Amino acid sequence: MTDPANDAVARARAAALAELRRTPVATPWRRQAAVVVTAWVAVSVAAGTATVLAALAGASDLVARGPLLVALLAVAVVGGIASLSPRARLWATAAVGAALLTMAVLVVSRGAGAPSSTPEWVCSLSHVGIGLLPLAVALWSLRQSAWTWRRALATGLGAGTAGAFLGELACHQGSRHVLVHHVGAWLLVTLACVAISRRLRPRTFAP
Amino acid sequence: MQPSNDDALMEQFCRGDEDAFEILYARHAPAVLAFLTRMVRDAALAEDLLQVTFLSVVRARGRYQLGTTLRAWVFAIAGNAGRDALRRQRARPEDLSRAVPVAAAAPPTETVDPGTTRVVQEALMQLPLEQREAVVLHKMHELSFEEIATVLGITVSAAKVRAHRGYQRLRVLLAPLDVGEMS
Repeated sequence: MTDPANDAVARARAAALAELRRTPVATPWRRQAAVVVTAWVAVSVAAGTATVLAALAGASDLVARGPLLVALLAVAVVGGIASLSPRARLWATAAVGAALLTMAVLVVSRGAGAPSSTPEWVCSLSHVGIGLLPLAVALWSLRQSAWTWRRALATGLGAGTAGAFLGELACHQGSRHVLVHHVGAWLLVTLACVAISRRLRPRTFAP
Repeated sequence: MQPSNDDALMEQFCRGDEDAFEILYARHAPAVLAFLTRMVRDAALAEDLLQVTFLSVVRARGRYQLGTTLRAWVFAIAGNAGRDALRRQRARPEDLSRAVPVAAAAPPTETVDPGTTRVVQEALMQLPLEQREAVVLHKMHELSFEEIATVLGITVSAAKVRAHRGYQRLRVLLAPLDVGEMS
């Protein structure tokens, strides 16, 4: 008679060996993080380029808002690293801190803004719409390790930067609008990332 | 000649060396199964989680950082998989009714009276999960508090506090048995 525990150990060994044969060479987490960051930054840059080509923003906007655009890209980079780094606690804390600071500056720096005939909800919709691809990438990255709320939050904030990048260039309305329709939409993308990723079964349970 | 060091074996394993994986598996799998059995208190689930754990080890080996303790890393994966399974089980209570009792699944303890072993295991099962993990890792798998902190993703002092509270609770639960010093 065979010992069930030994059978289980043998079964698990066979399954792991089969998996090893499927992917003989390990993918370093840094390469995966580079893919995530590149995807997020590419979406932001593409959205920014489309905004300039559509004449919704000019060179003066790029110069005036340059520091904030760079800050948004920095949040995307740190959030992307946090999504995959084995030392997520440090990177996630940095990403959340940087995102909150950037949100505050986005709101305060806008001031009274300029009146617009475009309905305000268009900004929210654009923000969420442009965030869908980064959100999909974020969900993929979060499945590569065990779920933690800190990592999911940082990743969601990173994914939401693409919409904020577009909003910063294409919209000229005031602080209250930015707070509700830009920061609100950014937080909505983040919340969706946290909630959806929590329900997904991770591909690995590695820290 | 085969390297005996876990890190050297991990390097080979990361390049797809099956022999290196076999050595690491033989070294760590039995302890991981024992840990999972004590953690989830369900023999069948623990066996499934052993497979999940080592599939994770294979898939996530690019996340392993040389210089960290491999044993702690593998136990961390097992702990994460166990906690996730327990969380999903709580969300679907019908799964609990199919659980195989842990008494049948618990790894045997040598040179101890079976009756005492059963009572200790039952007391262990009455501990909250976070205390049980810390006590099992410290007492039964002889991990250091640094390793336990890595496994549980907490600070070393938090690991000590969890284990201390677990031992205190066990002392109370085992007082009628007079099992002796627990820590």
